[in-house]
Amino acid sequence: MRQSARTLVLTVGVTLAVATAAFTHHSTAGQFDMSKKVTVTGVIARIDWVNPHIYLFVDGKDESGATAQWALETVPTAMMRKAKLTKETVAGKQGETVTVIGNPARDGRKSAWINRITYSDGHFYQLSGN
Amino acid sequence: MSNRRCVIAAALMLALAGTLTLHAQGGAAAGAKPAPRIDGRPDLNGTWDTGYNEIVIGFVRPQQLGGGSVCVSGCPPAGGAPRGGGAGRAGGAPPARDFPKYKAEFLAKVKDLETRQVKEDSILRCEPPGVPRIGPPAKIVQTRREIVFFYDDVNGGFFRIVPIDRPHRNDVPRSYLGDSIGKWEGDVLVVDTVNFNEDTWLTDDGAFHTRDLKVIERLRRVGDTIEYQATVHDPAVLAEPWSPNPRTLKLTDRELEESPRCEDRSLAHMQDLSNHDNPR
Repeated sequence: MRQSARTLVLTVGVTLAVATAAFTHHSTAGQFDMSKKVTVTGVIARIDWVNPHIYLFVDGKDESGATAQWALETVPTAMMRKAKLTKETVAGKQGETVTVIGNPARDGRKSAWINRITYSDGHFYQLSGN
Repeated sequence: MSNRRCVIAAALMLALAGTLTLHAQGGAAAGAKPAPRIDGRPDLNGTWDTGYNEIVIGFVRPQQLGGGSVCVSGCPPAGGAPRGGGAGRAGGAPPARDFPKYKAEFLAKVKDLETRQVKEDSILRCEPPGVPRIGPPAKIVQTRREIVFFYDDVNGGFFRIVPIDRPHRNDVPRSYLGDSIGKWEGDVLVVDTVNFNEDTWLTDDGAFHTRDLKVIERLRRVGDTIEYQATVHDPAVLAEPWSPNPRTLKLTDRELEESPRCEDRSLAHMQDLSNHDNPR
């Protein structure tokens, strides 16, 4: 399904499931709650391909229906390079709906540490955890 | 046996032992491809695999899952292999701690900095790692007058200019990577670096230094490798000079790429002092 960022209906769900094998990166645990999961469905508005962690900004709606932009954090660029993933491959198609599962920020921001990003055709990139 | 004969015998034994030692040291090199030379010196030019990626992300074992899916980390076991994503280093027990020995009166300061490294370690703010923490160079450009070291670090791309047979400058401010000069001791390049600022650590875990830090690096080409050894001198705080584990650099055809910029956005949101290693 291809939709523009403006018209896209986005859903954000929070699952309080216990992470069974969270990425045991201690500084990550200092910022994100590895015992919780958040699911964000939306469109990638921007990717900052920076170190030490890459950021995906996904336009979504929270549970109240208000539009929000999620800052989704993931692995260093070197890990992506080792897996032969580039900024372009992670960006997917223009306006494509993606679903991201991650560990939510402990300070309540619209932010998460990405576990998996799944694209509209079903293929996915597992970046941490389950 | 007279004293004179004893002296002569001892000298002969020492000479024989020295010859055998040199022979043994040359054994590994003798089996290796001869090191090329330039301007009468070993040729250090080239791009060098420092082992940095293996140290930092060796535990990452990406899996192609079909249909375009890829597992980078947190992957299911493959062929009995351990799960990726949490080990931090490839295989086996972690190596012994490679850490400088501080004078007793500074141990509490080291411990305090170690505890609070999330707030105190400047590399977490994307600042240059300093020397020797930055590790060996990933690329070397060598001329008669100077040698330039290039680095491909998670904090960015850095360089150091090493003039040959010239004195240290006294007209430059203190800096993260210091002021370096080089000289050849036979076939070994010896780099002497001083004039550091005090914003860097020698390694993780609170390994601070003073402004009087002096680092000596020795580089020796052996075939298609370079043997690299750094030694840290900071007698005001260290109980003895510290030499991190030596490294072997391997010549590679892979050219350096522009480093992605480093931009910390996490520290302000840390809810505790938890941390992890930041090896180079």
